[in-house]
Amino acid sequence: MDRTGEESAARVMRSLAFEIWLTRTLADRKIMDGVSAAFATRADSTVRGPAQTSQFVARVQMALDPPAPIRYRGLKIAADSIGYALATAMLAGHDMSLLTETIQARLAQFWGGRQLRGNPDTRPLERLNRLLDDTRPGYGIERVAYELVPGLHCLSPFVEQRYVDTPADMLGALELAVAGGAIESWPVDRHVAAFVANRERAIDDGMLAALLSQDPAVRVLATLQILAYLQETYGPHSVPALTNLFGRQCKPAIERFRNRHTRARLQNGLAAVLKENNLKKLALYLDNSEEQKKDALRFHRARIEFQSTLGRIEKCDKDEEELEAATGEAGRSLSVRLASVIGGAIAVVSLLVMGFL
Amino acid sequence: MARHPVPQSDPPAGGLTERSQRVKNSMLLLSVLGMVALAIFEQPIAILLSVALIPTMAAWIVDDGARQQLLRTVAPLNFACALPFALQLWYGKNSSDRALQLLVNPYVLLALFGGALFGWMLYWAAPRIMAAVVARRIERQRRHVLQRQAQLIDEWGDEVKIAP
Repeated sequence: MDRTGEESAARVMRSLAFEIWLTRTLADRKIMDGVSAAFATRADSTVRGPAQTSQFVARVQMALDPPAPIRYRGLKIAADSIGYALATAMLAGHDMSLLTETIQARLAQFWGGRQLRGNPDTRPLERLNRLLDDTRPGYGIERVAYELVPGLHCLSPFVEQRYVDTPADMLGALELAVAGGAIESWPVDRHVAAFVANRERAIDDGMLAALLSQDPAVRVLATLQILAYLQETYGPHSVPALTNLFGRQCKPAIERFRNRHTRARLQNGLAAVLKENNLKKLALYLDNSEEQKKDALRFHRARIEFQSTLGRIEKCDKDEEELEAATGEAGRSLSVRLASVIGGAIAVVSLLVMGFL
Repeated sequence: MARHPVPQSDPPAGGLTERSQRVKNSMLLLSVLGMVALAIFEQPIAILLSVALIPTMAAWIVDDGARQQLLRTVAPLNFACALPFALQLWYGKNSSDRALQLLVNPYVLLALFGGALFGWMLYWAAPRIMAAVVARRIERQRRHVLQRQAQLIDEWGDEVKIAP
């Protein structure tokens, strides 16, 4: 149904004649409830204009014909095949906007609520909406696809051809991709992040959020931590290409240490760590929280000391300005004391020499 | 009730206060009386001292400071250098001729006025020497602080300059 058709359908659905037909001719309580729900749901939608009309028409259609698939604009899809449709669209590089809108408009949930036979559980779909609204790596439409199709392999262009369908295979595939020159900078793209986040619950929100950080050091370390986790959990023990890739990119992670000596020490020791080809060891070497705390504390102290040196220089200037006044008086007092001592000494010596004492 | 003694302190630096002017005048009076008494009873010594103490008198005239520091510097040295000659007169040949004889002797004059000259020089040089010493200390301190600043910047970069 095109836009004009949808507008006309919506006009009819909102007319009094439709309501009369619904109540007098159809007279099906469940269908009437469904249509009422479609009218009520309209206000929930966040979209405006034509998309809102399309969603309204799709809901009324679902209410009138519950067993039929979801019909949204040009899309006709069964509620339980949205994930597969997404995966297919992703693989083929097709436009996914209709599928995305279908999820965002919660049409599958509405469809589930209208079914006369059985009671499909649509609660997991609510979670998908939250994932879809989140645009960070590890979330979004990619994550929705992996959530909806549990056996879906990772669709990242880096590893798609190697059919990585478990996290255990991910690191090996990435290693081959790096060694083959397919990856030159960031090995964790949106698909890899979403795939790993879906399969590995230990990868937390903080780590995924850090992948999007403006700070290159935080980004490098988050990527490294994710891959180090995979290596520690599944292996392989040695990943030379990936280790060298991080070795080339870890400069910001070293640069974030404020102390020049610490940076030099880390830079000098890096080659030895890289030789071990172990991401976990590299992550521990670069992301040492104790070292960071120590560095931050020492930097804070250095700043305080620098401020105190400014105060000391100011005092020197002040002392220099007041030098003449301060030393003039002190010097004259000193001359009085010296004169008394020397005069007394001369008198005593004179008396001694002259034999009076 | 016990009365606490008022602590005695030097008058403030600067021009003559009323009190110090009074003290100065009293000193003048006492000196004049002393010299008159000395002229009456010991004329030769009075002659010697009236010449020998010219630098002290000059210091008394030119010193307008509240603490009379010039006078207090020159006078002890001047007196100390005049004392041996006064004692020579007292215990030796105590005559005006002898006093005049001493006063025309250039070595005696050098000894009499040398002490006073040293006092004048001490008064002039002590503040300058002290200023030079303190200035050098300040400069050393400043150099040390600047060196530490440079060390901190070298170790932590320019961000260390920002106040925490």
